[in-house]
Order: sequence, then C-alpha cells, then structure tokens
Amino acid sequence: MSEMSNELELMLRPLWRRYRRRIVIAVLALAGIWALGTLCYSVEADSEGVVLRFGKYLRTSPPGLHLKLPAPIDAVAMVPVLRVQTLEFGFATEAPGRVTRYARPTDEHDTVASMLTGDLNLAHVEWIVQYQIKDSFNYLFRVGGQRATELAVRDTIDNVAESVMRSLVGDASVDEVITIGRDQIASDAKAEIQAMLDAFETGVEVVTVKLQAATPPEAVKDAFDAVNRARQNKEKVVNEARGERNRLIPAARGKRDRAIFEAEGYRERVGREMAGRANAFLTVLAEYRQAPDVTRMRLYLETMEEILGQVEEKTILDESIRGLLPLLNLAPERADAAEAKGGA
Amino acid sequence: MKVALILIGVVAILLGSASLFTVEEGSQAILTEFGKPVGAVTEAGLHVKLPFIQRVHRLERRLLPWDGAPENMQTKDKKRIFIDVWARWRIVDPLLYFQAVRSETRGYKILDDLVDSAVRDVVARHPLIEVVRSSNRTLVYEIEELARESEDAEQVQFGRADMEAEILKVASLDLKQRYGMELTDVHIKRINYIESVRQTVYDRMKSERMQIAQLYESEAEEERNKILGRTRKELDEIEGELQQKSAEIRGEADAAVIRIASESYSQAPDFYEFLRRLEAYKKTLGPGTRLVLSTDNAFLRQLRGPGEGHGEGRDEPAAP
Repeated sequence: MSEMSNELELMLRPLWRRYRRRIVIAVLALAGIWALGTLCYSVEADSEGVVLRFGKYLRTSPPGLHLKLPAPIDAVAMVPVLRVQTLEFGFATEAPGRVTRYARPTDEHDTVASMLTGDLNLAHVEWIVQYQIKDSFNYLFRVGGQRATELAVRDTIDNVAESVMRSLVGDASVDEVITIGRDQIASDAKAEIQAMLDAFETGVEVVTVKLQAATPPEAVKDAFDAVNRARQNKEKVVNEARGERNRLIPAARGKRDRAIFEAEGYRERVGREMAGRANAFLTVLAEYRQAPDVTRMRLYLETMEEILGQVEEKTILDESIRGLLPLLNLAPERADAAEAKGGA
Repeated sequence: MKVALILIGVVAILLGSASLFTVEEGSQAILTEFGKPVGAVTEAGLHVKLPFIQRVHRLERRLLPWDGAPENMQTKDKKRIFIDVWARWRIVDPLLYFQAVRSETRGYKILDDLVDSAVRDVVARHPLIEVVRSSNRTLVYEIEELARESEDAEQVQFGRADMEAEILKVASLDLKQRYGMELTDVHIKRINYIESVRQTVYDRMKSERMQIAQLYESEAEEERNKILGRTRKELDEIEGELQQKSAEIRGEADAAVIRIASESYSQAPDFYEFLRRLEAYKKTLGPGTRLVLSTDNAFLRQLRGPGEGHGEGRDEPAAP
C-alpha cells in the first residue's frame, strides 16, 4: 500500500512543483465563484426574495442584488408576487395568441363544468380564476402537501373555486346561471373564494373571477334556443300588428277630420249665402215699400220682356177666337206645358 | 502537535453537526431517543439536541390537503348522485401523530376512511335539494311562468354549508385524541346526478322549455289579435264619429238656412213670392220653350187696345 502511495507521490511531486502557482490560483478562483454564488442573490423585477436563517424567517427583499450569509446558514426563496396567474375550469387553453386555440373538451372538463342548479336542473359553466400572491411568507409556509409550494397553493385555489362556484350555482336558477345572474355569481364567487383562501392563509389575492361560458347542457340547448326563438317571434308578431295599427288609425283620423272640416265649410258657406240673400231681400224690400205698385209692375214687365225675348216660338191667341185652339199642331209633350202657361 | 489540532477540529465539527439541527418555517420536528419520542420542536430556526443519541424527524406544520375520489351514493329521497369531497387538515399534536400515524401517506389513508363514510352517512340523511342549495333565497327566472312554479318548490331547513359542517363534525369525531390530526374544513367539490339519471333530467328540462316556447307562440297570437281587434274597433269609432259629426254640422247648416230665410221672407211673404216667381220664370222659360199665350194675359193685355188692361192686370202676376 505505502509503496504504491510512495510511487504516486514520486509521480505527482514534479507536477506539483511545476504547476503549484496555477493550482493555487484555480482553487482560489473556484472558491471565489462559490462564495459569490452563496453570498449574493438577485431578485427578479416581478418577484420578492424571502430569506431564511437556519430555516427561520429573516427578511423579505425587493428586486435587485443582495448579500447574505453562505449556504448552510441563509437560504433564499423567490416568490413571483407581481405575476398574475390564471386557473381555467371546464376548459383548457392550448395555445394563447391572436387567435387562441382551445383544447378539445374532455370528459374531465365536462365533469368540472357540469353543475346542479338550485332547481335541480343542470348547467354547463366554464370559468377562470386569476390570482396574485399578496403575502409571500404565507404563500410559502402555510399551505403544504406538495413538493412545490406553488402546486400546493394552486391545488387549494382549485378546490376552493370549484366548491364556491358549485354552491353559488346550486343556489341559483338555470336562468340566473345562464343569463341574468352571471355577473352576480362571478362577483359573489370572487368574494367567497377570497374569504376561504384568507381563512387558509394562502397569501393569495383573487384578481378576477369570470364566467367564460354558462350554457344549458348540450343535450337541451335546442329547447332553450326554441324558447328564445319563440320569444323573438312573439316580439316580431306583436310589432307587426302594432305597425298595422299605426298605419290604419292616423289615416282614418285624418279622413274623419277632413269630413268634419268639409261639413263645417258647408255650414259656413250656405249660412253666409243665405244671410246674403236674406239681406239682399230686406234691402230690396225696403226700397220696394217706398213705391210698391210701380216697382211691382216694373219688375213684372222687365221679366216678361226678358223671357219673351228669349222664347223663340210664341203663339198669341185672342180671347175672341177660341175655336182656333184645337187646330193648332201641338206636340203632345208640349201640350201640358202650353196649357199651363196659357192658363196663367 | 499539528496532527492533534486537526483531530480536535474534526471532532468539534462532527460534534457540532450532530448536536445542532434546523427547523424550517412551515415544519416542525420530533426528537427521538432510540426510537422513543421525547420532545417536539415547533419553532423554526436553529436548535440543539444530544448528539448521536437523539434523532430528528421533521413533520409538516402547514395546512395539508385531502382530495377524495368521486363516490356514488343515494340521498334520502332516493336520488342517485356522485359526490366529490375535499378536506384540509393539519398536524396539531406532533408527538401523538408521530406515534399513531407516523407518515403523511397513512394520514391520508385514515382520512379516506373517515371522511368517505361521514359523507355517505350525512348525505343519506338528507334529500338532494338540501345538498345542493345553501339557502332559501328565491330563484330568479327570466320567464315568469317558471318563477311562479318555483315559488312552491320545497324549502330547505338545512343547506349545503350545514351539511358540510355536519360531515366535518362526524369525520373529526376522535381524530385529535387518536391521531393528533385536526380536520379544519370539509367541502363538497362536485355533486351531480350519475350518468344514467342525467338523461331523464335533460328530458325534463327539454319539456319544461318547450312548454314555455309554446306559451310564447300562443301569446304572440293572442297579442296580435288583441291589437288588430282594438284597431278595428277604433277604426269603426272614428268612422262613426265622422258620419255623426258631419251629419250634425250639415243639419245645423240647413236649419240655419231655413231660419234665416223664414225670418227675412216672412216680413213680406207675397213680395217674396212675387220675386221668386219671376226668378223661376227666368230660369224655366228659355229659348226652347213654346208659349201659347192669350191676349187676356196681363202682359199682353195692352195688345187689345190702349184703354184696357191697367188696374185689372195688377193682380195678375201674383195669381198664376
């Protein structure tokens, strides 16, 4: 044994002599690198560094370069406090981007999304929870059970979010879940999830809870659509009827008003016409009364003059030659008229 | 001398590392002497122990998860459902825990048995509605008819939160005394009908909605007919008003004409008649008329001679 080591020594001695300086420098350099690694640490811009001394909390460092004691004494854990993280429930984003691609829905997604509503119907709800770390000490040291603390916390948020969402949906109607109560459910969920996570001291702040899709189950979608269609059709039919009504009524009112105005016009016209005639008569009468006999005869004669001037066929008979009458060739239709006038 | 110093140094380091130990935040430690637990350290930091004799066992001090598998069960009202439950627990008595449970794996196993049977117990004692609902808040519907139906839905005396509290109570019965563990929370993660029941639920939902769709359809017809009927009625009212008012106004006008005429003409009826007669002659006797007149006529009387006619013809035009 010793002979062997003696031989090794004999072999190494010249090497040592020759490279002593270089070996010392190399060892010192390695020691320097190690010291640098264990004495300094840098915290990323979106993180905080939690420093433990012999496992006990010492301080929290902001982003930047910091010094600490070497390895067995001080240890640092980095916590990304500014990073907003997202959990998806009932669906999975495969490749986010300008056109986000979603993974094909699996049975597991369906199990998460399918929920009993308060009226014992089923609804399909997909949602997201976004969170941020607000207390890095609690985040690191209050929730465990997994090798990595971010997994443990994630797991807790996952469980809490599913329970809270299900209990809210279980206390609402299908209609509320699908349409009218969505915002309310999301904001209630945010508050309740936060309260539970605070009770567990997870050190996590819930940033957003958002319902992505809240729909009736695939199997009954058609029936829900039929209701929507029927409702829209109802509105359409009613609007059409109202349109018809709006087309007819004002036109009829216009017609009515027109007829009434026309009647009023008639009243005005004939009233005034008659009043005019009456006034004319009274004026004439007043004058007539000044000299009735002369006026009467004058009017009579003037009229007869006018009439007889216009009448083309005139037969004048003397009282004394009565026998001529039967000889006259009178058209039968004129006989009556002639007799009437003649008799006058 | 030199060798002795090095030896002392090595021994000191060995002794130091054997008698010092650290406990990290979020964990706790048990010290054992030849396998027998002698003390617990719950404070984080650097601690001292007897070298070589005492050994350190580290345990979790953080909240620990438990997530059950989905279990099929029946509610009190014979609804077949599956329930998926999760819980959170922690080690509260590390010494007892170390003796009775020792590893987390065994801890989970204990919880599996306790929580599962507690869930089964409690669920079997309550109807489905009490597992699902948390309160008696009134469900809100977009559709009035559905809201009315839900008003006479059964009320719950016992909500999901009470249910979870009861499960917690049943499951953690002697957990602390026997195992040094504490269940802090039990919550229902998922609850749903089993696959075969789901189809009948879908059918129910479908028929419920189709009935509403039909209601809307006939309501549309109802509303349309109402509007059109009312329109017809108003049209007739308007037409009637038209006829009534214009007849009244025209009658009024005619009456006024008669009144004015009679008022003025009755002051001199015979003069009026005389004028009117002349006017009528002018209108009726025109170029196409053939007149056969006697010289006895007042107008022509003068044809008989210069002396005759006057006086006698005075009344003539007034008496046709």
